[in-house]
Amino acid sequence: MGKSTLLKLLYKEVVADQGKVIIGGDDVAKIPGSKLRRSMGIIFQNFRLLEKKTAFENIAYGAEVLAMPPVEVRRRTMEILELVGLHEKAHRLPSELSGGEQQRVAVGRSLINRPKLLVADEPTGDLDPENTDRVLDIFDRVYRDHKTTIVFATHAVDVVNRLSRRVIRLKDGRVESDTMGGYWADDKQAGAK
Amino acid sequence: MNLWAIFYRLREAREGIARNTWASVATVVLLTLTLLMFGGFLWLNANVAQVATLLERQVQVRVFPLEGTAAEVLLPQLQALPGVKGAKILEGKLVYEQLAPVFGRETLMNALPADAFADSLSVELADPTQATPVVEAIRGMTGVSDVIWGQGFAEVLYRISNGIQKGGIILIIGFFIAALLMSLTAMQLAVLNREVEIQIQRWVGVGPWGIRGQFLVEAFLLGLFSSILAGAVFLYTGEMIQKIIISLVPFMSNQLTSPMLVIGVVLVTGPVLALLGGGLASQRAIGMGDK
Repeated sequence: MGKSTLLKLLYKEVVADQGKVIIGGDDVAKIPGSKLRRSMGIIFQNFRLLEKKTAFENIAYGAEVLAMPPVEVRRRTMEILELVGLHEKAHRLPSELSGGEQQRVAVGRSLINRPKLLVADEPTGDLDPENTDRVLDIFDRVYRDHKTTIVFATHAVDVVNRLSRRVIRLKDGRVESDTMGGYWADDKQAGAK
Repeated sequence: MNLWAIFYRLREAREGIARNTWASVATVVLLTLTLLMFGGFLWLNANVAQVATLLERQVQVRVFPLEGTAAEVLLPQLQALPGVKGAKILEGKLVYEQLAPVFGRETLMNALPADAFADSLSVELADPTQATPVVEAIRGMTGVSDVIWGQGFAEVLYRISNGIQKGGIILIIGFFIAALLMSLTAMQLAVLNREVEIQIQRWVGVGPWGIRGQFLVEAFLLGLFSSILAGAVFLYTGEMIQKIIISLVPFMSNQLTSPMLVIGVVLVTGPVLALLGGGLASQRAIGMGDK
């Protein structure tokens, strides 16, 4: 099992045929997928934006399809555009934005419903270092300001070290290590011992 | 579903229709044509059924008694005959009176004496399609000179009307299936065009019925628009066709089924067909379960 499959188990795109997935004390198997995902935000490497909607509309879309009143949708969308630093480009189409900006729109969309858990599958995989830093800054703010748990899957060691949080290393579908502080923390700890 | 959900679904449906303008126009045109044919056959079928009912009322048997046999003698025998619904005496002088306005009383008096027409009997059948054995039984009765009935005419008309009714039902079912397939194809295209939207809706936690709602609203709008177009065509042409039929077949003047009935059926059928198509298309793409 790879990291993407593990994340799919979290947001119930895939159902576990063995074992249990527990989120916040609840067995995922017992919660309908749609209800589970309403408390989550999901981000992918390829941004999957709606090409004919502006940055504002792409972010708002996630709230609109959950039938949030327009005034609230607007308020939250403006707030998020500010958070992801795209308030000046709110009315641009994805084709008029850079790759990094598009990913920030995708991050904004995942935050519109104020999730308790943010699941990000290689969100910086297609980004240059500068845009990677900006996305990581957004995650940092979301974690600090809203206490949102972020599960971030990546193979980029520098990104893991930049975050310097809890790191779970997977190898051949098994947990190899579970440490705090960065990718090499486990090795450092082992070395210290 | 709250009011905002309806508002957003309507907006998405409008955008979806606008985005695929030509596919939407083609769907509406084909659905309208199908509804027109469906409604047309429905109307024809209803009217043929009316003609059949009318014929049932019109098929009467005239019985002429032998000279010296009073019609009153035959009347109870005819009324007791199996297959006979009723019988009555037609007085000869009444027939004379009926012909007088047609030919002019003076002309008629010069041509025929007032007692030229003997009394006869009119027999109404319980089942007009079973006229032949009843007529044969009447012919075999003592005191009957002749029996007249529109055998060939009635039987041929029955065969034609039955054929049209049966064929009409088959055609209506055929058009119904064609319209359903058309709506299904259009909605499948709409679903394919919105793969990313469907995915995003899933990610943010919209349930299968919520996702399907957008396509159902879109299908409903296309169906409703087609129905209104087809209904408008029936409204404008129905009365005209009715007038033409009445001018050709005056005895049908009070017998024709109103086109309003067909318009009502068409207005309901269009959205229902489109909703069925939309439901089937989205079910295939989205699935029913919420795993």
